[in-house]
Amino acid sequence: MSSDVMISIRNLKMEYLVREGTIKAVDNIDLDIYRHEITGIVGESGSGKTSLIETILRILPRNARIRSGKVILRTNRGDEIDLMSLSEETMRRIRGRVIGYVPQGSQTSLNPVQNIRQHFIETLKDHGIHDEKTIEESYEKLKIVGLEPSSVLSKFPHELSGGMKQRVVISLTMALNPEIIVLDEPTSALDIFSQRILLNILDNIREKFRTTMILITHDLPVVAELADRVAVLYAGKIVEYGSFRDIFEKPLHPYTQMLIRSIPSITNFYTKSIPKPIPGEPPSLLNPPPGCRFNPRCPFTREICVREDPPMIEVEKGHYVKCWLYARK
Amino acid sequence: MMKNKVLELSSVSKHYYRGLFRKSIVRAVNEVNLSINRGEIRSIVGESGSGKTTVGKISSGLIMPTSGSVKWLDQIVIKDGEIVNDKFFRQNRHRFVYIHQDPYSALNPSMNVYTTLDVVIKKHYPHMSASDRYDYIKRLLEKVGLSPPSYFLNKYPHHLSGGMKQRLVIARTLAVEPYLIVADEVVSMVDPSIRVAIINLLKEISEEYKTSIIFISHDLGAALYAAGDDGYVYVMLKGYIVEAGKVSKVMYDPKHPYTRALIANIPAVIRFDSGKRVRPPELVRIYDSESRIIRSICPFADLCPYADEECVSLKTLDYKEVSNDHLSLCVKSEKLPQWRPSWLKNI
Repeated sequence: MSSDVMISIRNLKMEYLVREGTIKAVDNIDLDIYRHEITGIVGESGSGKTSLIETILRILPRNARIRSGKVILRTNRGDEIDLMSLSEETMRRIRGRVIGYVPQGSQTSLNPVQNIRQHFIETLKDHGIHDEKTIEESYEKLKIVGLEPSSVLSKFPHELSGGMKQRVVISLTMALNPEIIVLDEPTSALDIFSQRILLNILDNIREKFRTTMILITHDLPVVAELADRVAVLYAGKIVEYGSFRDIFEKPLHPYTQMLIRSIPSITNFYTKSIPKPIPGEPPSLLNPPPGCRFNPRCPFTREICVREDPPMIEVEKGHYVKCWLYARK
Repeated sequence: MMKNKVLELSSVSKHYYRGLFRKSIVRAVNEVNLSINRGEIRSIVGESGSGKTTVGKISSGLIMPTSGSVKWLDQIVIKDGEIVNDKFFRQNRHRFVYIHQDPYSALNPSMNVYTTLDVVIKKHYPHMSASDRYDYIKRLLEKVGLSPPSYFLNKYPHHLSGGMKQRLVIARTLAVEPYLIVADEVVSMVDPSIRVAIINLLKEISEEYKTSIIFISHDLGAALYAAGDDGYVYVMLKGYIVEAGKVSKVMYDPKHPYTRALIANIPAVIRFDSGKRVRPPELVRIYDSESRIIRSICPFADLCPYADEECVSLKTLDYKEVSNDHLSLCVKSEKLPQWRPSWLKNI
């Protein structure tokens, strides 16, 4: 596993302007995405997972403002670019060709009056590829997702199941040979067998094509099975970041620990463990609590937690946590 | 504890007729038998489209089944698509409550917490005085964990988080002193960190008021936790209950291939010694263009690795009682090899 950083995000801050004030959806985020790895970003709804990705890709709604930060992309060819300072036109060329994006619920994004072949042609032409031969070859990408081009290409979206549509969308993304693929909640609308098949496909893509992937989900078990590294997001901030073993075997942040313990999983049944809820509710990002944003729900809250936001500390190599329990003050 | 049955469905089916000549039939629910005792929580698990919501709505009298009978409190209320005991049905239907999965659309945005509960109480207890209603509302809010009640009384739904909304919906349900609550995917729209808290609330309610609860979920983990180890679980697939029994039996010794495949394939936080975490699909046949499609009346035959000629030649689907209080719809239930989830040794 090579450990060079492909995307490094520094001090990224984005807010939404709404009538009631500003929503601090992405608040001073530092994150490294490693090449050829799957990085999982987990968080509850409203924790800013999708906002973070939309900020990186700069596909934000009009009321969003990027306040500060850098997103340095080091392409496989060795170029180094700051996505935040690119012109809109250059950024448009990066999306799709360099960073593929599979948004949430994308199985519904296929055009009902076009068959799958037309989807491929349109996707490639839209990104400036008109060469017949290249387009022909791109159909082979369907094989990566376990679909047979000869039987699927002439089909229309309504003839495919939800899981197959999702896989078609992933193969469309792969058709442009991106260096990174960002998947937003790819498993959430799928039944269990389709989920399992998709997890295997993503694992294969990592093995065979060594494509870097960012996987956004609220579903901890999915991340536990697939991700090499995991970032835990809470109320717009990353509270813990480390390898999947760090996060699932020795979680440090009280939120991560409690989150893992709170999920009623089928393994609870066999281990006879009882899931424990986290008291309270996730905070509103309109007026987040002062200091550490988890302090109202944390059993270890001290005076400093309410007063000051803890720094990100590297506790072990590659295992970062943002909590006063581990920081010296 | 009284052991009387609050609800009993006997071979209930619901078919929808579609198309110009009503010739295409959607069999949403097929020959379902289900019952629940007072103060019990039973879970229905199944994927989207398996018919679990339809069963829930039939149970609370919201959907009229095509055939079969529905008994409430040991009285037949619906038989073969008609209401039998109209007076009894009308008197009791509000006490067989159905909770929708989406608390956001279940509440009126122009009503504050107080009014939301007050209209329901006024309707069902017309003789209660205004001050009694006020006390009752405060008690209800306290019960569901919206405390202090005085803080919430004047709040509107948009002030509340998803979890709080779901608690309010549960409070509204409790206001009518229900016999049965059908909780349909009540935790799926709630933040993961507070799902367990909502399930615990339902467990408390069933304990304290002896209310029966049907907990419907696609999330096997949540459904098992809600029913508890000694509870009862129904596994649904394509409108059929394919396996039913005590949670401990169904989980330790599943006798339907679908249940086995379900348990085997659920993503779970498990450590694998080999370092390889992603598992290939287990116990399901994966289609490719050459694979033979098995046509059988069995709902799982097309994916089932055990399917053979016996399954193709089936004329009727019958339950096999594999052990006491444990039913499986698979014709091969007794002949299936012993099985344990492959990942079990890793936990």
